[in-house]
Amino acid sequence: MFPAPHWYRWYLRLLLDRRISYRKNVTLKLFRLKQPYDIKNEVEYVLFDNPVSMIWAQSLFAWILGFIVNTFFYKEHTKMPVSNLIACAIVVIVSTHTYILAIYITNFPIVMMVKSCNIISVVFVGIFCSRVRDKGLQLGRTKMIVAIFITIGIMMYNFGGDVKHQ
Amino acid sequence: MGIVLLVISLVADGFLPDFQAVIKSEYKPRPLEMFEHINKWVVILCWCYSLATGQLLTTYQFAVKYPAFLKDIIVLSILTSIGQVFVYRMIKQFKQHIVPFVITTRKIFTVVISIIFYNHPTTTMQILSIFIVFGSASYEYLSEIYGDKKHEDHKAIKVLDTEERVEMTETEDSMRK
Repeated sequence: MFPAPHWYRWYLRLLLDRRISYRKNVTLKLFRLKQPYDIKNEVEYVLFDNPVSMIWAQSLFAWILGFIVNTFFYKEHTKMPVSNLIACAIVVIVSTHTYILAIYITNFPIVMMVKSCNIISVVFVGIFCSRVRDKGLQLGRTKMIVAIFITIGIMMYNFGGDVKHQ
Repeated sequence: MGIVLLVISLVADGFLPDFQAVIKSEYKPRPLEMFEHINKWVVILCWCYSLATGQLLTTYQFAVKYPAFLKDIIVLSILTSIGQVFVYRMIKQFKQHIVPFVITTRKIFTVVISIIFYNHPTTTMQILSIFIVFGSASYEYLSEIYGDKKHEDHKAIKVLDTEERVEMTETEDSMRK
């Protein structure tokens, strides 16, 4: 209906075609965006297929809120290097974009399960690839064991069986 | 394909707290400053991408045509922003891995409350898994609290030592004079 770049439309068509079989798993308010928007008295279903717009819409509100608070309630402002902030922003965009696309493709419980296991990636990066110089913020290797236990717990819960189906 | 996307998302999730910890340790911004600036750059980069791909216009057209979408996105934005304020406060106060720990614990709490209130049938393995997650998270919180206390005590002892040494050298100097 609305023009979008050819490659992007093709990609989303691929995703949305697969989405139909998982429609029953749509539960949260957020994923109403995944459901079609309909016009009353018309038999028309349209899906919102711009995940990046969902990211900037959320961040725009946060930016405005932060700007108002920092400008009107604090006089001193900390200068931070743009490169670090852009690195953080890119990581946020990649994380959120892939998360939203994954919801389109796979089902919601699987996405939530995998996202709940992000503790292991945080601890792994914190131990093996950290750029933090402050020793107080560096993570010890014992954290990895705790992270593995939590991940195992989450996996066990999800694959632990459903009594209803037994 | 979905698994690949989730893996990419996990990797990005892994690097984000580390990048934030670098900013926190080196520049010491207030939580809301980091919150504002990171979100600002997210918006700028997303706008650049949306302009390049033509998504900005299509989103506007979509919002005009389906006002229910606008309501959803505004509610979502408000809730996400409120949540982020607390997340950034946690990032400021604790180590970088505490935020995912708290989020995971919160999810498990939700599951437990849901099981209790709605009487959902659960298997023994699922109950065991809840105990494992709670136990691991509790151990981590306690070790962080007591670890920090020990660290602070150690620092305080070091400060005392250096103060004592300064006093000693001062008295020695005065004796010599």
